[in-house]
Amino acid sequence: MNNEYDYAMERRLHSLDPELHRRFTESVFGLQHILSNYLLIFPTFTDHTELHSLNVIDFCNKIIGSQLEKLNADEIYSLLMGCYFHDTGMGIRESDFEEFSKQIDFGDYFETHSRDCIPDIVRDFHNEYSGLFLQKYSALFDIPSEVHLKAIIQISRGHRKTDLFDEKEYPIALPLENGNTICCPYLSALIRLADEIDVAAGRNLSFLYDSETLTNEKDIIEFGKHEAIKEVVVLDDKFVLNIDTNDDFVYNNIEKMAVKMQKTVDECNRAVTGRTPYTITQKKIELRRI
Amino acid sequence: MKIIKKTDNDTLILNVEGRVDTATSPELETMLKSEIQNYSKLIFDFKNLDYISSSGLRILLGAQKFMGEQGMKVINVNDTVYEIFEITGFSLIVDIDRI
Repeated sequence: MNNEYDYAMERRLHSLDPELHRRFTESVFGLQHILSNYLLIFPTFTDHTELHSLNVIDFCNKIIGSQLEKLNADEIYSLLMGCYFHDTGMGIRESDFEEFSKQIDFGDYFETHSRDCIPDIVRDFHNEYSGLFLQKYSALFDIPSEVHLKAIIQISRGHRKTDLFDEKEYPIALPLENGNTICCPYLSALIRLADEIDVAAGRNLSFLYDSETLTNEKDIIEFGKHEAIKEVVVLDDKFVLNIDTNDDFVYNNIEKMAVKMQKTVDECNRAVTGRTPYTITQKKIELRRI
Repeated sequence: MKIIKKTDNDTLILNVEGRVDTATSPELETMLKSEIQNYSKLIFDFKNLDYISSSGLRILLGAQKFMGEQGMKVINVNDTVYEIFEITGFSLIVDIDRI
């Protein structure tokens, strides 16, 4: 099996800038406990810990492929950090929820959603809570500059919903004092795509997750999809989901999910091709019954 | 990949040989699912492990979550595999003895 891109970003960061790499690895150590906090709010949810971050990084490595040579150390550091921080908003404390909620533009969300269902609010805006978490607690993670912090926040927020065409929010060349720049739309598109793919994959380890405890219908449907998707393969031109199920209900739900994934693939491709010197070579989601 | 299982009272020792990657890691996951709840300590012996991919690393970290931080140890880790723990940041998290 081809492992050409395994750990490619981590290796390249270590080689280009050992000091930034040190800051990254020490952040991983600090974040592993913080990431597990999501279980307090979402005990039956799919994994959002460092195990998910590892998958997101792995998918990013595969999607970037040979374009890694074009990324500088600051971009690699910012993306790796974003991969670890993007879901920190799923496990915020109640006091932070109150504080951060005052800073988020919820639009017309509460016209159709209750203000009392905090888990729904956290889930639906967790990318924004992640950004605000990072802003508040950045000193804990030894982030080298305000510019790096801004990049990591935007990449973390950008894993869903945000407008990657917004030039102010997602500049193509965020300048650093050392002369390097950070290409925010490309890095955000990568994490958005990688996260979307991993959501499709059955990412809960069987020995850590007891499916028999599930009672919520939505959770059961989600679990059924994850069980059926045996593997997500990243090829040069597409993402292939290998599916093993004879249950038409499950398969139909996977087809619906694939439509949503395709929208994300299209959106990320448009943003990257239209705004950056990079490309995402994968254009399609393909379902294969095995 | 080849997994050789040994036990010592409440300790499960898994000698993992070859490569743990996307193709082989489900076998390791299945082995852990059927075994680890019966033991309070878990040791991975990586003396003959050549490579561990991200999917294998996830299983290892998941096993540590299951066992608790004091309940798992990885021994006889060669330079190639240790480099993976080091570059990913997990050498600070997993209890590792190098060869």
